[in-house]
Amino acid sequence: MEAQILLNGLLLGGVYGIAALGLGLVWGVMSVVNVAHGDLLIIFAYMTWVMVSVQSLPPFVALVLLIPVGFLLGMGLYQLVVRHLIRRSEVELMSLVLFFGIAAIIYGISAYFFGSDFRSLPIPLPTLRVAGLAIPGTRLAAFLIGAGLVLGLLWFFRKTYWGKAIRAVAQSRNAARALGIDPDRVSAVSFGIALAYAGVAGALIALVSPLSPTLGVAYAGRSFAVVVLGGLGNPLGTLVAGIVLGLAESLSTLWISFSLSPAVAFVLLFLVLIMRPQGLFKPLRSR
Amino acid sequence: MKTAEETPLLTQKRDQDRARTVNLVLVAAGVGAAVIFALQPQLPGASLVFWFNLMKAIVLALSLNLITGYTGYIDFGHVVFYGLGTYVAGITIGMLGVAVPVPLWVFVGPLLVAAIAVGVGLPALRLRGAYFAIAMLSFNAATRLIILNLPRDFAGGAFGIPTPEIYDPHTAYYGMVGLLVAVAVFTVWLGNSRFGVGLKSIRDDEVAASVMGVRTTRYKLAAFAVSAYVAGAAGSIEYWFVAFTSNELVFANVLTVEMVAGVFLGGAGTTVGPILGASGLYLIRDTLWVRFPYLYLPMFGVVLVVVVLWMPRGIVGFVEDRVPWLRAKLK
Repeated sequence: MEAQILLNGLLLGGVYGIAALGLGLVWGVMSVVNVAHGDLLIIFAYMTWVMVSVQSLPPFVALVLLIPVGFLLGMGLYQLVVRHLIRRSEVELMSLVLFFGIAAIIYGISAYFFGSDFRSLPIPLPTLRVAGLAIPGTRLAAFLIGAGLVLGLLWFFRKTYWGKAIRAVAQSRNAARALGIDPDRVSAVSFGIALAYAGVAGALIALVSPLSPTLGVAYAGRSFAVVVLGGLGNPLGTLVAGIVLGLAESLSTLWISFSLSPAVAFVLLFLVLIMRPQGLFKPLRSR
Repeated sequence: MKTAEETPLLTQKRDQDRARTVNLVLVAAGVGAAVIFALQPQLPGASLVFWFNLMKAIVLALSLNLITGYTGYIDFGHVVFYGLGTYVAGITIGMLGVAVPVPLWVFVGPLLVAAIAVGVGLPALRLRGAYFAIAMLSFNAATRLIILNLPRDFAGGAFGIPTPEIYDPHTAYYGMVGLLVAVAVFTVWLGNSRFGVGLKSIRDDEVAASVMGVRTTRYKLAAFAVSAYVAGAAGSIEYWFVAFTSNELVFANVLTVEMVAGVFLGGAGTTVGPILGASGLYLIRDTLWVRFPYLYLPMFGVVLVVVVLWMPRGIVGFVEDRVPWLRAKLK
């Protein structure tokens, strides 16, 4: 029983990790705190639902399609809105208010189109049984995709030109500019990557849980808990923190009611913020 | 009003200008509003609920303004204190059946909400910027879930706390008038007081303020407690007005969005700003809501985006910057 609970938590953790990654990346690179991240995840999850249920696409095709959609949406959002914000003083505080507004817009859109009913997708993969444990195939695939893409970003940051440019801009916009890197373009690309990851995360969320527009707050809380625990934009830390949160949530069901489990993220976030606001892992900008 | 020597040099000029504008407009608007609000239930054709909710929107915006506008701590979970206010009154009166006089209790009970704010604020106000905002967002979400899961005969669970025996909207209406006047007067006083100047110095530069001898922790906690008390009292009076409270309604993030939009649209850290912002949004919402129930929330979002990008100091700042002749006339 306990082993099964631990396994469930671990599998969920991969999804939480990739869900939080985009939030931490944008925060780490340009000090913009995307409070709308949870609602973005949910709107991507709804896009998946529409593609699979209405257009009858295979779920993993929908997932792949959301990568360019998220990337373009991110670039567009950066060019339209964030670019104007980033030149001001107090970027972080004003971005909070700005994205709080964007969150309200996105929430209004998903509430308008999808109402308050829960919607869910048919489970595409069968459940495996190994050594007395039930391993839901879909959740396993979601974990592998999530964890794989998060670790892929580690390679991207270390080995590619754009990855190194993003790290440079995270450390200092001015120094990066002096070295011939255009911080504006790099930020736009980072925003694109962040939302591409959010797109994949949204598809995975649609596959592993029923959807409702109000879930945005729960996923915002989870993402912030993971980002604060795992260090802003640190892929490895984010994955570990996601797994920690997944384990904490599923272990908590041993003692408290299932309906309270989203509160675990909030309590964890509150405690981490107060006891160790610098998180457990180094942020992107410090390397 | 205190003399200029008592205010720090940095913000002195701008704040004096602003204080004069604010006071003039306030006196005129305050007299008019007081007459309307006091007479309202006798006026034909106007709805009690409309005016009550307008006052509630203004009170909540002024409450958030104390911590977010003056002190610079953006609070994304402020609705929690409003919700706790409804539950403090609801649990004592509705569930435990304590025989307290309701008109008194809606002002005394929220002291408990202020105490909770001190308890949360002690650790949370050590956090800065985004971290504080998010800690409060999570505090609200966790509080809502915890109250939902408390024993049903104590906090009503998902069913809420209906209390038809206290239903008395006409008296509750005057409770809200009283609260609105009290918080408006407090905010005007704050604008020129030592306490208010201390809070603004924390907003402008917390480290500098503490080096200059402002007891930052104490000031922040006091502002947070007053702010929570006001939101809690608004909640208690709301519970009295509708004789009901429910988890789904009173901890809704929508309410925080309204407060934040009202404060920033009007102008954070002023008195008239939040009043203007909250009333404007309320009037628009009230007309839109009937015809397009889904439109009003995105509209608040658009307001926030526009305000941050084009008028970061809100309507008050916008008027001060763009219409100098008006400011000169008002002096």
